[in-house]
Order: sequence, then C-alpha cells, then structure tokens
Amino acid sequence: MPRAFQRAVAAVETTAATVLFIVTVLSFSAVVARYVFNTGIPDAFDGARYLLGVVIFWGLASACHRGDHITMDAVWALSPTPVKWLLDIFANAVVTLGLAFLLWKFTEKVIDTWNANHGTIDLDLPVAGFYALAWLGLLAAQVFAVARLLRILRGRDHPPAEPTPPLSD
Amino acid sequence: MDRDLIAALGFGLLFTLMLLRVPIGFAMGISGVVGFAAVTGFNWDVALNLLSSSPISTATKHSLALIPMFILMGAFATASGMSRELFGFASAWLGHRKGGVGMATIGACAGFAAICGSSVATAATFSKVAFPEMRRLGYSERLSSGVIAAGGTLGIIIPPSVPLALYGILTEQNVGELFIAAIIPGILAAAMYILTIRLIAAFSGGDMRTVEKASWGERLAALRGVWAILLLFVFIFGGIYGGIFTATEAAAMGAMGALIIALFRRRMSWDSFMEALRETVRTTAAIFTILIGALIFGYFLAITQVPQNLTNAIMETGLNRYAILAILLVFFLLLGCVLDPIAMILLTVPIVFPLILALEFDPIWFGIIMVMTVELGLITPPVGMNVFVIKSVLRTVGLTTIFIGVAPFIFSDVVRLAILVVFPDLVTFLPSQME
Repeated sequence: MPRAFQRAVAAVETTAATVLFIVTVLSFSAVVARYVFNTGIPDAFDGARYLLGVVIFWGLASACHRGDHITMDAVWALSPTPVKWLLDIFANAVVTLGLAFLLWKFTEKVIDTWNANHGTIDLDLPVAGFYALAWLGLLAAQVFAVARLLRILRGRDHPPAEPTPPLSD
Repeated sequence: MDRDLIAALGFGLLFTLMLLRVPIGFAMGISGVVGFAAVTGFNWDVALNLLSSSPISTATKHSLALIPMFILMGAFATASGMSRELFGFASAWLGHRKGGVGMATIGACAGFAAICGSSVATAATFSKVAFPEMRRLGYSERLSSGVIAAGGTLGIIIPPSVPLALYGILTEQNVGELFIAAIIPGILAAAMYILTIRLIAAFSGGDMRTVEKASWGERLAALRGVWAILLLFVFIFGGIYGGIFTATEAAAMGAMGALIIALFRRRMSWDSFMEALRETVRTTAAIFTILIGALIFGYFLAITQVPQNLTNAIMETGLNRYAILAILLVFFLLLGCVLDPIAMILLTVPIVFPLILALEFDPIWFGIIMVMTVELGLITPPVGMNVFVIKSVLRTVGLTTIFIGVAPFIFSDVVRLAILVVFPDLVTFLPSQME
C-alpha cells in the first residue's frame, strides 16, 4: 500500500477519533455545567449531534478501509478459498456501488441545506458546514472502498477479510 | 405487483445479499430502497430520496450518542486493565470455595460488564486474565473456557448494553428504564452461572483446587482495587434511577469517569487512549451502518404493511399469547445461531414489536427477554461469537471443547428465561420505582 495512502487512512482515523472525544467532552461538560454551575454551554446539544454525524461518516471510511462491517459469515466461512475471494469481490462491489448512490444523494442534501441557510439553535452556526465535514468522510469512504475492492481483485487484501467481532456484541 | 409479494421478494433479496456476505447494513439499505421503488411503481426518485435524508438524520440523532460513549467507556476500562483488579477482588472473596475461581471469574465478568457493554470484550479480556489461573488450579480446558464464554455474555445483559439501548431507541422506550430493568435479571444470570459452577464442582470437580482463604485484611485490600469501578457504576445508574441523568448524559459521564480513573491510576498511555477512541469509532460506524440500513428497510416494511398484516394474521389464529411468545423465542434462538445480535434486533424488532403490543406484553419486559434470548446466539454453534473470540485468544483450545464446556450454561440461560417469563416482576419492579 503506498505510504501516502497509509497516511490518508491514519489521518481519517485520527480525525474521527478526535471528533468523538470532542463529542464526549462536550456532552460531559454540558452535564457538569448544568449541575455544578447552573448554566448551559451554547450549542452543546446541536454541536454534539452534528459532530456525531461527522464521527459516523468518517468512521464509515475507516470501516470501509479495514472491512470492519458486520456481516453474516456462515456461507463465507464454509467456502473454499476461491469462493471466498469471489464473495469478497461481490460484497465489496455492492458496498462501493451503494456508497456511490449515498454520496450522490447526500451531496444534494448538503447543497439543499446550504441554500436553506439552516443554523444551530444557540449560535446559528451553519448546519451545512457540519454536513460538509460529514460529506468529506463519505467521500473518503468511497475512495477507501474502491481501493479495497482493487486490493481484493489483485489478491493483495491485507489484512485478510476475516470476520472481526465488534465491541458492541 | 401485489404488496405481499413485493415484501416477500424484499426479504428474499435481503437474505440473499446477507448470505453473499454483503455487510448487513448495506444489504438492508439496498433491499429497502429497491423494495420501496417496487412498491411505488419503480419511482426511483422517491426511493433514492430515502438516501438523501435518512442516513444523516440517523447519524445526527442526539439520543444515539449514548452508543459510542458507552462503547468508549468499555474501551477505556479494557485499555486500563481494570479486569485484573476485579478478578483479584472476586478471587479474594470466593476463591477458597470449591469451584471458587470459576465463580470468581463470573463475578469479575459481571463487574466488568457493569462498565463495559460488550460481551466480546468481556470474553476476550477474561480469556487472558482468568483462564491461566483456572487451568493452574486443575480446572479442565472445557470448564475453564465454558465459564469465560458464559461470563462474557453478561456484557450485554448487565447494563450498559448496546443491544438493549438499540431496542429502546427502535421501540421508543426509555433507555434508562431498560437499563434499570436489566439489573435484577443480570444479577440473576450471574448467580445462576455461579450455581452451575458450584454444581459442576460438586459432581465432577475432583481435580479442582482452591486458593488459600484470604484474610479479612486481604479482602478489604482487594476492595481498594475496585472501589472506583463500583463508584462509577453506582454514580451512573444511580443518576439514571434517580432521574438526574438521561441515558445519553450517563454515557458521557461514564466514558469520562472511566478515563479519569484510568489516568488517576496511570494506566492510560497516549497510544492506548487513541486506540480506544479509534476502536470505538470503527465499532460505532459498523453499528450505525446497520441502524441506517434498518431504518431504510423499515420504511419499506411500513409501506408494505408487513408488521400490521403479520400481527393481524397471528392474532386471528387465536393462539394463547404465551404460545406465540414461545414460538417467537424459538425463532430468535434459531436466528441467533447465524446472525449477529445487533443485526438481529434491528431486523426483527420493527416486525415483531406491534405483535408484542397487541398481545399486551410489557415492552420493557420484552426488551430484556429479547436481549437475553439473542445473547444465547453468542455461545451456541455454529457461529457463537464469544466462542470464536476465546478460541482466537486461547489458540490451543478446540472450538468443540469450548462449545461442550458452555453447554451447562446454555441450560442455565434457558431456565433463567423461563423464570423471567413466569415472574415478570423481576424485570418490571425496579423501573416501576424510578423517579
């Protein structure tokens, strides 16, 4: 994998991780401010939720790069290696195509929101700005999905597409 | 085309894509959009518009922020090695009894589950912490691995629990009430696992040795290692119970609390801090992908009226409601053998929930019953995720050995389910007392 691509992946993952920490600190601070200082933090609610959207879409990019999606592996696990390879190609092609449609429709959503000039409740920050940040994550997801599909087609998928148990189960 | 036929074809497409290993969230989203288009006479503009607003409105829903923050709390707890203190504490109190270290493993898993809503993380953690100690004391590979696989399931039974939170969000039930409702069933689960180990030790534990009985001074010293974890649990769930925090606020307090404890104990390096965040981001994205897909598929179900038609058809059979419940639970058990717990909840809840309401079951009670049933899929063949996780950590132990080892605990789970069905107050009592 080219070094520039590895750096791009690392930058996406670190950005998503940092934004998640900001969401957590913002939510924590809002509770502390309310109970300890009897005051609120402007846009803590809207800020946290729109940044959560950024985390999800940038996280999707990371999941697309690593193949960390939750899948049903019953058939795949029982298949011989060539069939596994074909299944991986099919599944990743479907993901890539699905992301392309999502990117197209979400681009329209960002433009509509920009034109509608929606703002956050307290500080009137442009919602389209948050959406645009999330859109960048979706764009990265599309690029990473294509790259992963090409790696699988060339038989160079590292790490291999083994099922990864999610922390949520 | 007839709507029932379209609905059947939609489900057919969904399961075909899932069997071909398309990620479950994408499979649900694609089936939902295609099915929606079919119902509207292949009006693709309308169907594709689901992709315009549904994903971002789901990703920016504030109540859903509790999912990454509770996962983060567990990731910080795992990274900071709190599991060892919990195991040490449980061993000091239970280790001198016959089967005591196995019981201590369950106790420590229960404690860890109270700050980490992940069965997989709990099983992986205690494979490293408790398995060597049990083997050293003469426990068989079968029992040692079975204890850990079963103990791991406490991760999604004892709150905080991501599957339970998702059930609450999908059905518009109070997530805080669901978490409080899960406390007694969670304690019951741990107690029944401990009883199971005690019985195994009594009947076939000839080679099992115990550790030397700890003095009261040693027991209290062990308490020093876990008081912060206990305090965090009491703080979070006391706050929810007392109506001070919402579940989302409690998640933020929990994540920051776990971080503060880890920093205070100098257990968190910069690398482990960032890795916990990255891991949480990836897991959260994987869950939200399914959630977004499930909501899009839900629009398709709504327009085809599958849930209502199914509910009406079942109600017209005149079957006893407990017979219907039993059929549903068996269906969940079978589906849980091949499907991820979260995917299963997101796929089936929108379909069966109207039926549960029509049968006049308490929705909070059903949430607990459903998660406990789904949880069984983590330890039953062929794709019991906890078993595979333990196998990946303990490479020398065979899958069959672990599956056989966990069998008595599956029996315990089924008995526990029956108890909770017969005595629903065990679930509904605590939420009914909430502020």
